[in-house]
Parts: sequence; C-alpha cells; structure tokens
Amino acid sequence: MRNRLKVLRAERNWSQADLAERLDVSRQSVNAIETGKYDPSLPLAFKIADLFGMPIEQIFSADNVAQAAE
Amino acid sequence: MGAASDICETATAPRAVARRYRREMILASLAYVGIIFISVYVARHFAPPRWVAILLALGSAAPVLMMLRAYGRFFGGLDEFQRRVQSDALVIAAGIVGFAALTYGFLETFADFPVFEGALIWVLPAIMFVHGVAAFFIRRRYQ
Repeated sequence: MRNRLKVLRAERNWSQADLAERLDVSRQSVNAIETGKYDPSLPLAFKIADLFGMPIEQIFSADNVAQAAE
Repeated sequence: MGAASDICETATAPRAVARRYRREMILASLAYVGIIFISVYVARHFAPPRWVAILLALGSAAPVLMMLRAYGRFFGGLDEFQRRVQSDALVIAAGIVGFAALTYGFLETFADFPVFEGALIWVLPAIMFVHGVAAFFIRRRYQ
C-alpha cells in the first residue's frame, strides 16, 4: 500500500515525533507507515485521515491503483 | 520478554509502559533469585519429603508467572506496530526453540544423544532470548 503521509506531514512542518504524538503511536510506527513497510489498521488509517481532514483514499492507495494513476 | 532482552524490548515502547515493565521485571527477577536460592538450599540440605519438593518446584516457577504477567501488560501498552513486531518475534522464537527441542528429542530417542536432566527448564528462557534477538532484527527490517 502507498501513502502520502510524509508529504502531508511535511506540509504542516511536523516531525515524525509530532505526528506520532498526535496519533498516540510511537515514532517508529510513523516511520514504518511512511516508508510503506507497515500498513496501518483500518482504525489507525481513519485516525490519520481524521487528523489531516481528508478522506482515507486521498492518503492511502493500493499499489496497483497508484501505479495505474501514474 | 525476559530481563536479558530488556534493552531491546523497551527501547521503542512508551516511556510509562517501559518503566512499569522494567519495575515489574526487576521485582519478579528478585523474587525468582530469592525463591530459587531457598529452594536449592532446602532441597540439598534437608532432603524434604516429596510434597515439600513439589511445593518448592511450583514455588520456583511462580515468579515466572509474574514475568509473563509483566510482559502481557507491556504488550498491552504497545501500539499496533510494536505489537506486530512483538508477535512476529514470538512466532519466530516459538518456532526455533520448539523445533530445536523436538529435533534434539528425536536425536536422544533414536541416536542415543546425551539426555540433559532438567533441560525443560531452559525452554522458556530460550524462547525469551531468541524473542529478544528476533525483535531486534524485525525492528531493523521496518526502519
């Protein structure tokens, strides 16, 4: 799964630690999600979407969907 | 999971969770050492009856329950990614230690390899150790 977490975080000048604190997870979790090595659960994905005020599909997309869009 | 792998375990956990885990593990470890010392001393010097020996054996195992409880509370305090790391590490540790124990059991049975008295005592510590090592490498894989 791909995501725009790093871009969205950078737009707000948040560090990984800032984002982690807002999501109540560890910085390592944010890093693993950003690098695409860990896919968050649905509740956490919704929490991320809520935090950025965006629909979930504007942040996360399946690999094949992202490739098709490119 | 165990005190031996404490540094690896608590490095990325929330501070309060890590602190509680360390405190509970230290208490359990002190209880373990104390009870083992007493049990060995009584067993060697007093030749206790069987029921006392059974009580000594069960008493020696009791602090390990405290350790498992501490780990359970630690696990419950982690976020979902950290739980994933811990779960993966436990699966790997259980697989490696279980397979090694089974294989050596066959070697004992079929090939007359030496029988180590009390070897079962080392199963849980071995799982704890392998779990700590596995968690370290799994965390690196996600970095």
